[in-house]
Amino acid sequence: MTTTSQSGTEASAAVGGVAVSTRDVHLAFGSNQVLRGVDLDVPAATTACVIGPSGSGKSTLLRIVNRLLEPDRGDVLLDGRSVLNDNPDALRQRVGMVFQHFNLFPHKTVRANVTLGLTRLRGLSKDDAAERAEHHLERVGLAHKADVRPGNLSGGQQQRVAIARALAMEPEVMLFDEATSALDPELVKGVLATMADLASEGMTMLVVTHEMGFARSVAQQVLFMDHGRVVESGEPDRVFETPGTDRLRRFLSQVL
Amino acid sequence: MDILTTLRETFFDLDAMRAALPDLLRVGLPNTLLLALTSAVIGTVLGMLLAVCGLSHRRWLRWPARVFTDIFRGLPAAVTILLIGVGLSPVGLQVWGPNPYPLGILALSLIASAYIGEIFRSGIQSVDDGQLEAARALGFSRPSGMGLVVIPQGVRRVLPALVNQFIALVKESSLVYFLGLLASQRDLFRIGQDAAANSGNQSALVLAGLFYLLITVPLTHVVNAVDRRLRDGRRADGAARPDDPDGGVRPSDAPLAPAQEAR
Ligand SMILES: Nc1ncnc2c1ncn2[C@@H]1O[C@H](COP(=O)(O)OP(=O)(O)O)[C@@H](O)[C@H]1O
Ligand SMILES: [Mg+2]
Repeated sequence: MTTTSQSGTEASAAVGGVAVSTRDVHLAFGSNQVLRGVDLDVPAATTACVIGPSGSGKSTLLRIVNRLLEPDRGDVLLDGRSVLNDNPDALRQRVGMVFQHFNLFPHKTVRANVTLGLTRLRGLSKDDAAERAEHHLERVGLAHKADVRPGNLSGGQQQRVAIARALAMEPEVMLFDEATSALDPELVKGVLATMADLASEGMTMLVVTHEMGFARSVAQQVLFMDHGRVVESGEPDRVFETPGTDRLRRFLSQVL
Repeated sequence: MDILTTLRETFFDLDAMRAALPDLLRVGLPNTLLLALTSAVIGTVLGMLLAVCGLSHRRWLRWPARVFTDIFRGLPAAVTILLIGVGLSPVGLQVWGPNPYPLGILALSLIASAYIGEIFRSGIQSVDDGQLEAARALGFSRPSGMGLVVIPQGVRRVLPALVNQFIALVKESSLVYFLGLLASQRDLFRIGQDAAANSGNQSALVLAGLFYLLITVPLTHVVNAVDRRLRDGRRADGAARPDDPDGGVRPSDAPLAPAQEAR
């Protein structure tokens, strides 16, 4: 985590992260108003961490960014352009997502998990896809597990495969939804290190996490959500040292 | 005559069995296999269609699938076979002549599809929602995600139940005798029954029964083998062995640096 560059623009060589914004996003499930006007700006090649109590709408917000869910109102912008009229399947190829429970495909080998999108969506040949999978598995230190099924891996290894699977699609933005919450404590570090390296390489990342240490050392911005709104946001040090609202103070006292 | 002799002559009259054997082997067995196999194939395809429609978000797809399933699962097989085989026979007569097989196979397929559809549906439904979500997050459309990720997993889970359904189909195929069969169209059951009537004892029917067992018992073992394989399938499929030190859960997870885990 020490390799993280604080000014993202100079580190954009390895991966091409683009800016992500949301404007006044609203979403209700029936009568349950889950998002009540969320504005968000993640500059290109920076990391923003979203924190907040369970049920505050963090996962829902991420799913709106890659349009697994459609907002009732508001806009989502990638690289400054609204994506709500784009083909959602094409949009999702530009936005990688990593889930709390990994969601690897258990009936496929690690390699096949990574190549599936490459051959079927990117039109790569089997060999080219395997080569790219090898490269991305190498990056997360799991190339030697390519022929194994996910069920044979530890949780931490599975999550790193999930990251490799997303990265192989060469996304412009990465979303992480509590990527380490389901892991045994001793496995958390490896996954966080992978994420920190990715951030330092210039990926734009929107990270829902309870890892305040990660937020502090890697993110340029922390957003605190409660009841479907961004209650407070700013640089990590400012947010953690001098919380401006009671709600954030209470939340921090519970998690820290 | 003591009772054992009576029993032996009723059920195990070797001469009567020998007399029935050629027909059972050359006519009955192929016909039973033909009926069961074609209905199994058609029933599986239709069943998958029913499962996918039954799980659809569109009401006009879901509803017909549910009604169809309720009807053909709820009716006694004999009723369905008679209604379709006899009721539609005027139509069949014009299309393919006086052969009861197409309609018999149709009826068996429809019955099988109703059960198989429910088996597939429960299997597909049991797959975690996160699987489709992950596929869609990669950029797959909902139908592609279902086809590539969800359905293959769902089907795997219900393979044992599916084989059970095939076993039921082998047995139910005997019901086509309702439709009236020419000598060359008779299946195992019908030949056994005819031969039993001729010889005045049940031995030919016992032999026919043995033929059924010859088909169904191996299938039950397939079920068990599939079940076992699925249960510890991950190990059977994966490259990792129990003795592979890298195979299990490891306490320390290496970060991005590949050097730590290279070998
Ligand atoms: N698919 C859904 N259908 C109905 N309600 C949902 C759905 N997903 C989330 N919710 C509701 O939305 C609220 C916010 O959920 P979520 O975004 O998962 O919160 P968080 O990730 O911050 O814990 C919760 O009240 C939850 O019950
Ligand atoms: Mg959540």
